[in-house]
Amino acid sequence: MHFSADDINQITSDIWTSTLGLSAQAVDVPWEGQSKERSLIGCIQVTGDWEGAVTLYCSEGLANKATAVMFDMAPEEITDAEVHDTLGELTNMTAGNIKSLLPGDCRISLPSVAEGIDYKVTIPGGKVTFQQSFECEGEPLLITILERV
Amino acid sequence: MKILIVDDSKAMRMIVSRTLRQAGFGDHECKEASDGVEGMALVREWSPDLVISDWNMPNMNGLEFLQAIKADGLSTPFGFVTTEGSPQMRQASEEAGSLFLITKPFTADSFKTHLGSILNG
Repeated sequence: MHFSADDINQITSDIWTSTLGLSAQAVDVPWEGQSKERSLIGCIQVTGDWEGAVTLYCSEGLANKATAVMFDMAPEEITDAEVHDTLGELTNMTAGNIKSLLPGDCRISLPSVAEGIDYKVTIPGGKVTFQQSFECEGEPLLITILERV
Repeated sequence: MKILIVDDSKAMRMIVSRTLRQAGFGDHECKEASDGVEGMALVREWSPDLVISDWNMPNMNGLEFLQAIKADGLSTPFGFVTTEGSPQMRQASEEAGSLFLITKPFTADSFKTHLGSILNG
């Protein structure tokens, strides 16, 4: 399954602009693995005629900024649960829109969110079929699509 | 009017509430629930005039929630705000009695278009 960079860039830009009023610009920087700072990743599994996963990785700083906007709160007021909720919903919107590009009948899971330093997320039998880096508020954002083969 | 917002994401419930205000529907009374089970309890207790529900939720998803409302013999106006708007989901939602399906991300204009006749009528 080939994913068009234009489609994914448009989906990502629409979500971050419409929901948060933030600009997410596609960039040619391989963010993943570059930073040893704390980061978060949201994951949605896709099952059905196409199987795989969609992940959304971002820095802790960007996750905090997005959460503060989402909840209309000062960054120092937000909780870890609100940060996870925000990233989970942003991942859900991303995967839900990507699902519309998939063939046949597919279902998406509820989101899961992990955070830490220098970690890797994989799905058994999955390979990266699309990856695009973005920059938002000067912070890294990475969309990855893994296809189960 | 009384509006019930049902979504497992607190962040999304806040965005829906904010968008309702931006669309000019800020004067209506709103309550929130985090899944279909909580939503069904509030439908029975509070009798909302409109339910705005997510589709993909734990415990009882949005379609099951709508079907439970109909099974109770209620005609509460109901619409989906969800990430997925495939033709199959639109058909299933219409067949179950949903009045609209708004896909995320959404704008205040899309709320005006879909909710105007219900909330202004």
